Amino acid sequence: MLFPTVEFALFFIVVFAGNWLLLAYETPRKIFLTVASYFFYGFFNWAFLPLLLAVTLANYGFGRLIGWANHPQGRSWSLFIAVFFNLGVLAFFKYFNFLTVTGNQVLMGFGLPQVFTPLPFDILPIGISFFIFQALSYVVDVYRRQIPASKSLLDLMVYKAFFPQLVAGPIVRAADFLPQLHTTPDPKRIELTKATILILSGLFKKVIIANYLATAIVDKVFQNPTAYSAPEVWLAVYAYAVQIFCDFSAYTDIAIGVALLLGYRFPINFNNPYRADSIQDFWRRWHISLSTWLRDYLYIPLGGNRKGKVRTYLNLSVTMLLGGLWHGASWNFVIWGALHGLGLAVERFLYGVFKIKDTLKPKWVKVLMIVFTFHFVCFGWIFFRAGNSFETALQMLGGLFGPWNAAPLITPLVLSLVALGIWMHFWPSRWSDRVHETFDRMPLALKGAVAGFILVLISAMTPEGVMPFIYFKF
Amino acid sequence: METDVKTKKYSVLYVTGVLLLALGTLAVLDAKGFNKWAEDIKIGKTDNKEAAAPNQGQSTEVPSGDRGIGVFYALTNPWAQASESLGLGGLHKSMKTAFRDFAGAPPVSTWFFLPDLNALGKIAQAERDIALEKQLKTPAGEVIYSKEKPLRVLMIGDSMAGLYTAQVFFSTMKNQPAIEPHLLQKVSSTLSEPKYFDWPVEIVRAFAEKTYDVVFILLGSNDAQSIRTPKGYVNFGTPEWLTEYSDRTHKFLNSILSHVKRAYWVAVPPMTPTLPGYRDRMKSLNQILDGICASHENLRFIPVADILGDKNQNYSTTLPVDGKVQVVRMTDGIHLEYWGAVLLMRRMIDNLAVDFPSAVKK
Repeated sequence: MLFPTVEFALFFIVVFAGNWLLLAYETPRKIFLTVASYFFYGFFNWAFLPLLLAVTLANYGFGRLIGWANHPQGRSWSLFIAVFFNLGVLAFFKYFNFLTVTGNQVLMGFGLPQVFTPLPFDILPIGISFFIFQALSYVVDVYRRQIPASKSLLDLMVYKAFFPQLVAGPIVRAADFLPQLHTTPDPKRIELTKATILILSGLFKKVIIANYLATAIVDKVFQNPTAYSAPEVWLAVYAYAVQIFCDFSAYTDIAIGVALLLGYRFPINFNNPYRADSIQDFWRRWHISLSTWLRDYLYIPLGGNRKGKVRTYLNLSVTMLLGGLWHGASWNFVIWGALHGLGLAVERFLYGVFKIKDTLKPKWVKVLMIVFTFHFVCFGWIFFRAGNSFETALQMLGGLFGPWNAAPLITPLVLSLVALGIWMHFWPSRWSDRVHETFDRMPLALKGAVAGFILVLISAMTPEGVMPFIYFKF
Repeated sequence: METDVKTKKYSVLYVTGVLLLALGTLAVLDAKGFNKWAEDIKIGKTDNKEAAAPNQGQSTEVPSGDRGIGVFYALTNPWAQASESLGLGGLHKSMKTAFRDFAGAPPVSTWFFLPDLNALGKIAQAERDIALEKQLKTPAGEVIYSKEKPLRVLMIGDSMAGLYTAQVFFSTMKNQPAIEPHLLQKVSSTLSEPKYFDWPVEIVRAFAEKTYDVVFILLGSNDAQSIRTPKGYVNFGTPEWLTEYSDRTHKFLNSILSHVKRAYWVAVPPMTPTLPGYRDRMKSLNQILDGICASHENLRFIPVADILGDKNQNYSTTLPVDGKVQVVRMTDGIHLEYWGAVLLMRRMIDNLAVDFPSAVKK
């Protein structure tokens, strides 16, 4: 079930009503939220509901086991089994066919017969990377004694399956969410303004900006880069940068908004990422729940910056490389991750050599750094978007320096959407505050009418069909 | 738009009021869109649309085999009709038209480059030349094709004819000495939107440059979209769309068939269930194309769901090929992987073997 659909609107009306009507009955309310979340997930593909249930039950058991074990060795072994199980599930569903195809290609290269057989069905459950990472954070946090193991299976089921964040994040930590389940949401303190603005802006970013850019230029150029002129290829790269931001941040905006209407809070996941003036700054602003996950559960356990400079650079590279692989079973994702890892390492080295301090940058240097960082990120997106085809990535790079011919794909619509997508990163925060204050001041009827009118506007501008969110496949 | 701004807190009743008003506004001003959504909902389907919409008189959708009306449609249809008769949908409609006009505005490059004013004249000349050449030609009899006199095969299409399909097309034909392969392919092209790539014009241009014996058409995957007509846009699924699309396709096919001995329209393969709307549209489109092709001589519609689908002719990522399970579809769930292209090419060669046995090496 996709957010920008009538199906989801009807589903949400039922869940909203059920959630607040059952407020006085904690257990029935949690059961209701769990059933609703399973229905939401099953709407994509019923076949994977048992997987979600199995991962939840297994991690409930692992959590209890780690919490129960007193002996350090027992705790370590329990954690090892939990990590092995979760990574095994992820590897089987996400990387099995990639490994068989790669293995066969290697064999073919040596003139040997292909011996690996890929699985004969489409096996990637939607959002698997998100709920497995969430499960890993839970068992590791229990192991580190940062949170107690959940005694309530029902609480863990709500946490694991809670529909707003289930399929595309943000990766909500147990430490952030489980305590919210121990208190009853206050029916008199709903953050309506914030939720409405997040949902409406999310719908606009996804349905209008991301979808139009995808169909009008990005998909066309990335499918066959050699057929397009250099200006079109350049614009397609910028357009993809805007598309992926609008697509992914839209999902988390709507997820956060929907959760707020149900009385729950999620952490923010994006903070104007293309305003970043360094690669490190970019990762503090982009997919924050993933970058902090990678920092806390990969980079720091690897040693972080505590084991000397060289080891720090290596840790950064390894973390980002694995972060790339998390996005998908493809060498292009590995290259994308490696690029960012290398970029972070080189940047840290240069900052050390030239003793650059973030706060002391002159304004013009800051502007230059923003432009440079944006282009570095765009360069990485070429590999990211090319997905399974390294050749496409190379063709795109070649296309950037191709003939400067007429460019029929560069239309006023595409230009304005790209400009809007970049410009929104630089809006002064007071504009946003003013929008919130204005909405707050409106009487009830006007609030409803304005929100309804914006929905009509989005509906009128919607292209044919609804595309799934890009991050569903991760 | 994520922000930490402090805002007021509201009660559930207040929030419910705002939500109901917002959705109510949408339901009133876009009742038609809501009704259109309800058409596709499969709950409580009956076979007779008129039973629930007695005043409608005519069906408003393309027949697609699995149609009928459901509870949601029956509930929303009177609402949509009332809204329409009161003119409440006017605002939505005018906003839609204004945005479509903006979206369809000519490329920025036309601000800097002069349009090719001679293009139409050149095409008209090319058509006259071809007609003249045809008149002078003696009728083709039973021809034996060979390396010296190969069967000239042109494959045309959108991205379904590109990527691995194009690669496998040429590699397969390398083993067929009596066949000379040619390709005319444009990603994202469609008969529904000639502004981007005008197939009727381009095909005439291709025939003006070279003669071909056979054409394989791999178009359709981008066709199930709204068509711009002089009177405005017509939406996929409406009778107006069907009329316009059929008319364009017939003309396009007439143009091709006047230049070649035989043409084949290769069906769009079954699409991924993760894009259910697109999958259903492609299924409908194949039925429409099958019908259109049936009315032309020397044209065959080639179904592919039996070779590129599972045992129920539905989408499958992998399929057995020569006794081994292979990945046949790309991760987008739309395009063909290498082995999918191999299966498709075998089907195309099989058809050639029936109609031009001397050209195909067994």
